[in-house]
Amino acid sequence: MMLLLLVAVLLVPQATHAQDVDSATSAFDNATTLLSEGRYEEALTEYEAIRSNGVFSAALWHNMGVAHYRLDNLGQAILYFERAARMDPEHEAIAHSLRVARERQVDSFSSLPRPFWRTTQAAVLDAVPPGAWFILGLTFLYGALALFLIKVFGGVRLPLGQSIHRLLPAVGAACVFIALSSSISPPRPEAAVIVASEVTLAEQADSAAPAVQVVHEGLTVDIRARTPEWVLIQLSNGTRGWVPAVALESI
Amino acid sequence: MRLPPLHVLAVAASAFLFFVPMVAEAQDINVEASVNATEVGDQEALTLTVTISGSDGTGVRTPDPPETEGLALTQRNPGTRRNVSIVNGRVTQSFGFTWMLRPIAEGKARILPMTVRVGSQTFQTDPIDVTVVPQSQRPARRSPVQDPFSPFQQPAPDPEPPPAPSDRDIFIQVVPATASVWQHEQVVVDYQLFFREGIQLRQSRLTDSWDANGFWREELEVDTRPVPRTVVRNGLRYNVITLKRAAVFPSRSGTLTIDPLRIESEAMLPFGRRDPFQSLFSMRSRFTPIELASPEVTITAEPLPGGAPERFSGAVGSFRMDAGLNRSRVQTGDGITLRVTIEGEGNLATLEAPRVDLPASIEVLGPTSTVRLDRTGERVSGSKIFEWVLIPRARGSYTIPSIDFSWFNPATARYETHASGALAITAEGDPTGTAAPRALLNGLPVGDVAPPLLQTERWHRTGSTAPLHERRLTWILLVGPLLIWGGTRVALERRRRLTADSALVRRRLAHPVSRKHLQRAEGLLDSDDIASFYEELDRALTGFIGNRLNVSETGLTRGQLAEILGRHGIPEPDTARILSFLEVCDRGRFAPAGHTDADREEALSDASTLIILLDERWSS
Repeated sequence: MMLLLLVAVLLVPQATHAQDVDSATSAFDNATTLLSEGRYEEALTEYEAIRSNGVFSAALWHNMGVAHYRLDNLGQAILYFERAARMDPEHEAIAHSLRVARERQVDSFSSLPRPFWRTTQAAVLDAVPPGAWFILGLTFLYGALALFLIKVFGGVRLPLGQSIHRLLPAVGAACVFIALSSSISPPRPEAAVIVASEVTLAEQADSAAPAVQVVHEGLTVDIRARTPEWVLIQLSNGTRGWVPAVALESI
Repeated sequence: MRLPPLHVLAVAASAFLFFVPMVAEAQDINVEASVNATEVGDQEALTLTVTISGSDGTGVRTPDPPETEGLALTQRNPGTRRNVSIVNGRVTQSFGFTWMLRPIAEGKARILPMTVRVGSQTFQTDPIDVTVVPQSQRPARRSPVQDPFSPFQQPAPDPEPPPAPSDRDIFIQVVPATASVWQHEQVVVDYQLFFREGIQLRQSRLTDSWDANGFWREELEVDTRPVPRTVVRNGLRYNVITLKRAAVFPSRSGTLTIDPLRIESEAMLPFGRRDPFQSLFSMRSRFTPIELASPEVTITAEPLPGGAPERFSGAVGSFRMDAGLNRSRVQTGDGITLRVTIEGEGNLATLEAPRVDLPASIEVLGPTSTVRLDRTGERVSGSKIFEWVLIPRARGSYTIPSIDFSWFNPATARYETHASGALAITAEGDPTGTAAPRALLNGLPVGDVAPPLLQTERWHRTGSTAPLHERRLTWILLVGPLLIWGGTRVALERRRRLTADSALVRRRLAHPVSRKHLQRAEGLLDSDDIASFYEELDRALTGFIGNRLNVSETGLTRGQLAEILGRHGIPEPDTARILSFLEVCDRGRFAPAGHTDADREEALSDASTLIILLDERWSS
């Protein structure tokens, strides 16, 4: 009886998710039909409804970007294309749409070279995500603990001898360190897209502060700090400045 | 003295155009050869044009010069043009190659079939027949009989060989004879004919095509009816006229040579005849044929200095650039013309189009180029116009980045750059565009975003995923094994320490062991095994003492026990009570008779009391 109850508890979220997916797929088809017919505002309303139901996909982001692009909302279009591209970087159509939309953005800044350890960190985490590093580290740590307990209480001598009791914790600790360090200091900071048509970067989080730079919609920036009303952003050329929080959206 | 026209190549074009299309068809590409007239005067120039239409320009090669009968080419490299036109939204392009031809003799002339290659296809034009008539039969433009260099005036027979002029009497001087310039820099070469006063010339013409390998050259106009100027050189008076002026542009560095300019003519000397009668009445007979050649011109071209700007593409001279759009607002799908005009002095004809970085959403056609050269001055100047047709494929505002044009200025020996500034285009109209993009690349539209994706492969749930280090479960999972490991290590350490210290072990076991014996004794209270009862009491007390003091209680005499107790701070009365109790136990063990239940209960109570007494003494 208890087992049946446990199974039921485990399966209820799955069933709920399946229902959400079915309804989302149906709504997605309707919205895409509207988009293909050129009814962009209506399509966007449908897509927003899907998102408000708690599900999303790369295709959803891409089609929302197309609708905004057709409505000449360049900043929003690039925002959604960026979201789609980050979910599915290998998708040719998404990459193409993002490239075309970026061609229209006004601003183009040079890029500062990234520190080698940042590029190395990014390469390592692109190959194995932080979550996987953490699970791998836990596996090694718990494996080392199990072997330790077997040795202590079971009196069993392992084939690798004492070295396994040093190697496994060390490897596990290294994996956990990679996972936690990338979580605390990610290789790529949180990014956002300017959605206001034009916004001025200020030296301080104050509308009366001196201006640093004027940027335009569609520009992708890094977020360095936040207050409830202001966000400190950094351009690709290293320029930093505060902008109102409503002027940009996180990717 | 006024001389007739010298340069037959500079004669004006014919009064009407008559195109003879020679069509060779293959698929959509059309190749035609045509001339501006099928009947020309013997002093007129003939224009031959080969037109290639229906090609996008890919694989179009410059045709080889035409082979002719009765006509001579005045230039080996053809003039080129490229036309782009948009009619009803359809863009068509055509390419033209033009040669100038000069009649050699009156009568029938012919342009033989030409072979034209476009990509992998080969086309052949039909031959063109041309009739060359005396210039007098053509609409009057000038009097050819006044041209001493005309090749078609029939000389009268001269019964006697006339005296020939010497190199001192008539010669061609070229200015400059040598020059050192930069690569691609303009050098104007002037060919001047010097002839002594009194010498008359007629039937003058160029004997072969003047060539300048390694140079791009442009001919400057010279007066077709020059008035000789008089100069004195080495004590002799000469008449001087300019035969030819050409601007040459060395296309490579190094020492380059320009061929001599050669002419044939007939000259009559006013001197040398001893018979004045014959001199007076036989003027026609005193013309003698001569051949003249200028010296070679040697030009040393220095390579351009380093440090050229990124956009530099070989322009040398003095230029000015202007760029603009014919309009800034356009309906999506309609075309805008971007025009870049480069004006100035220099190698305009060979200038490449400046690079234009266009947004991907703008489809681009072209560029086409038009060169307008002013050949009337002392140097070649003019303008070159590049035009692109831009077609926005999506609604929105576009910015064309600044167009940069860089050139090398020989006057300052420095590179210069002119930037046009950014240009803005606004595309309006239906967001979908009035026309679908025509080009697809890898199934994706060129210049437009991809079409909507029709299905989604995987849905994801929205949720705030906190960073790994901010999740409680992360630290629980990490601390768990550490706690287990640490606790086990502590337990092991304690066990090791206990194993190593026997006194401590016995001290810790004192209470449990004595309690165990007391419990056994209590269990024997109701039994008849009195000896065992007292034995348990004895072992409880002596065992407690032995374990507590880490001494062997086995075999201890009462005296030894008393001494040990005394040494460990037990007062005499208490020691006496213990010894007395042990006496009772001995009696109970070896003479159990007479021990009542009340005695045994009292003994059990005494044992507990004594143990508590000893523990309090040793714990204080």
